Parts: sequence; C-alpha cells; structure tokens
Amino acid sequence: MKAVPAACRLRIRPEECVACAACPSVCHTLALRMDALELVLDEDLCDNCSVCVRVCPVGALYIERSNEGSG
Amino acid sequence: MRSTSNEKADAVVVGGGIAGSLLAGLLARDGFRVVVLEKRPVIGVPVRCGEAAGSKEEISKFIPVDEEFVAVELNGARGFAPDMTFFEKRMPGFGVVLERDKFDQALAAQAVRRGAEIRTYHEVVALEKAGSRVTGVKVKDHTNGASYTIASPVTIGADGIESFVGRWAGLTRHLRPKEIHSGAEYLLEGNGFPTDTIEIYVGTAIAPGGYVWVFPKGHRVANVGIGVHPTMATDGTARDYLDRFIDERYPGAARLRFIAGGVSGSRPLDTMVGDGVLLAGEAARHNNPFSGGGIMNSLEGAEEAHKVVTKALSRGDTSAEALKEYDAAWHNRNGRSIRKFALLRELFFKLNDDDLNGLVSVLDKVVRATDGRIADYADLFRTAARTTPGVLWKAKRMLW
Repeated sequence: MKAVPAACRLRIRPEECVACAACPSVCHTLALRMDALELVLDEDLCDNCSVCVRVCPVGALYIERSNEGSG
Repeated sequence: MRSTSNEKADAVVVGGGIAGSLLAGLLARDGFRVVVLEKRPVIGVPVRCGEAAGSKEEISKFIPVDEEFVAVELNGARGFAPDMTFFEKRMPGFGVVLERDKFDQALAAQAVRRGAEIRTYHEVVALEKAGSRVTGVKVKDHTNGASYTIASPVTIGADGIESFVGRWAGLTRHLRPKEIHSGAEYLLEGNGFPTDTIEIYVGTAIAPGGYVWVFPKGHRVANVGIGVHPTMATDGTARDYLDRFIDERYPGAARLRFIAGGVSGSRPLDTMVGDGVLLAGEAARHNNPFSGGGIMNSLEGAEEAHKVVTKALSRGDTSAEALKEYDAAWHNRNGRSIRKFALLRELFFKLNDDDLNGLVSVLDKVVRATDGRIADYADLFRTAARTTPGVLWKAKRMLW
C-alpha cells in the first residue's frame, strides 16, 4: 500500500512577506518560487521540512499545527 | 504586441540584473541577437542590496561612472567589536555606495545601446530541452498573459540567488541553512551616521554568525542592514536583531525603506555550464561568501562569461565541453579567493565575543603600527597574524 504524503502545513503570512526570495533558495523540493511579484507555494511539492521557516528574515512563514481530533 | 509563439535568438539571458545586462550588452556588441527576459516590471526595482561596491575606477572598467548612480564615495572603514571598541582604516576612494536601481538601469541602457533587447515583465517559466541539452526557454508575458518560446543555442541564467535556471539545469542545488545568511536592511534617516566611511558591527548578540553594516547614502541617511546565520540566530528573525540594534544605537532614526533577502555563503559551483546553458552572477554563486558583496564579482563574472560565450557562438558549439573554459577562467580570476573566503566564513562562525574583541584590538594595533600602509584586508589579517602570534594560535585551534 502506497503511503499518502502528509498534507502541506506551510503557510505564508502575506502581510509580512516581502518577496525577498530567500526561501526558494533553500527549498529542496522547488515548492517555493517567486513569480514576477510574489511568493508562490506549490503545496503538492512541500514536505513540511521547515528550513524556509528558519531562513525567512521577517518570520513570514510558519507551519500550521494540525488540529486532528478537535471540533 | 507580440503574436509569434516561437522565436529564435543567439542568446537568451534570464534576468536583467547586473550580470545579465552586462553580459547581454557585450554579446550584442559582438553582433549576436540577444534577448534579456526580466520578470519584474521595472529593471532594478525594488533594490535588494546593501549597495556598497568597488571604487569608481574599478566600476569604470564596465560602465562609465555617472554621478546619478553614485550615492557616496567612500574613504574608509570602521570595524566595531562587541564591546564597541573599534579599529579604523582610512582608504581614500576605495569604494562607493551606489543607487542600485539607477545603476542597474544604467547597465540595462548600455546593453540596449549595444544592441540587446530587454523585455521587462516577461518571466521565464521553464527551460526547453532536447534530452539534457537546453535549447531555449518558455516565457510568460505578464503584460497580456500570453506564453511563447525562444529557441537559442545558449541560455544564460543570470537570475539571482534563487536561480531557477540553475536548478532546472541541474547545475545548482538548494542552499543549506549554513550556506545562506538571512538579511534585512532599512534605509534610515537621522543623526550619527558616518558620511564617507562604512561601519561594520560584530557580536554574537548583535548579529549571530554575521554582521551589521552601516553604509552612508547621503546627508543624514544610511543603509543599515544585517546578515545573520539562520540557525545561530535563536533570538528572533534577522529583522528582530536589526530592530534591536537600531533602537539601541540610532533611537531617533526614521525608517524610510525596508528590504530583506538571502545572501549566499556558498563556495563556487563545481561547474557553471551545461549543454546549451551557462550561469552568471549570483546565480553562479559569484558573490563573496564572507562579506556577502556581489556587485564587483558579478561584473567580473559576466565579463569572463562573455569571452567564452562569444567564442562558442562564433564556432557554433555551445556544448558543455565548449563552454567549460568558463569554469577555469572564473577559478583563476576569483574562484580561488572565493574558496578562501568560504573558509574564513566557517572560522568566523566559531568566534565568540572575547575572540572578536581581541581580534579588533589586534587589528587596531596593526593599522596604527603600519600607518595604514597595507594593501587590502587580506594583507591586514596576515600582518595581524604575524604581529600577534596569539591570533595565529586561535585560528589554528579553531580550524581543528
């Protein structure tokens, strides 16, 4: 039986992100990229490794805590 | 409005920054049809840089110096230890602080005058390949949403630290946290800034694994920025560290502009070329991994790339084999020293505040003793090591 990859829990705070391109540089799956003006996240490629969260100079990225079991 | 969906060019340059514009213009001047694709709507905007560069004389080798893009001419540098003692070295005219947006635009204008075509708001979204050979690019025109392709014997990735050309071509991989500095910078207005001197501040609480810089930009105005090691900075983001520094040192200053970015601390790439593809500028990891400075290195790297690409295009052979001399040329010009700076960077991570205080004290003695008669800062460190054996011993201990 094939394992289902965990859903991406990376989130961007759009009001904080300044599209500086630090995070695509460290993303090992190419899930993060810059288009002309803003940061774009491909959730299918993200594996929640959270290196980008450490590297972001302004704290615009975070991993959402899962709330399984809560109402 | 462009209606053709498949175009041809001799060279496609991805990215209209410093390396991209210089390289495009040099190739166009040789008679080649060159198209530059810049994904942003305006060249050079927004500025994402500390903006300090080499001397006017060094810059003039690449473009005539126009005072329009020079904010300040620099005559010296000060280095502050964690305990706020400092050493100072006067070096008249050693560098400038640029207006990066105007500088990038001037380079782009020069490229256009030389015959290159620059398309802004056109984003390269994929490489076209035949097997492993890069045969061109797929482009999205953001002005009208249309897509088109350009076929070309050589595609040049000059698309910055995040370089997707490099990653798609398999020439670069993602940077690891210890290979990147998280950077943030304000343009500040207020009292107490130097007028013609750059200032560097180090300290494990001030800028873990990095430094704060103060680069004067004019009357009462300065770029004040920081680079921190992402995993050594445990007390908040790069911006948090910078805010604390500014609130302490320049409490009344007004924040006029904020930018952030990553600065590559990577050693040079094993190779910057593939079949039909070549990297230049930060995309090729040309910048200095210790200081973070990239402007002069990007200009020099683009110049080296031009020599190799023009020959390859003339001979009709843009295979990796034909382009490979670029790797050796860069290694000889700057690659060797970049490797040394990468090592120095590793050493720097290991220094604590006592070490930093001691180092600045030694550098102060050395500068005074030699009356400033030192060629460059590599020479400065060598002289410091000779003058104070203790520094050599510490370096030796740290390397183990």
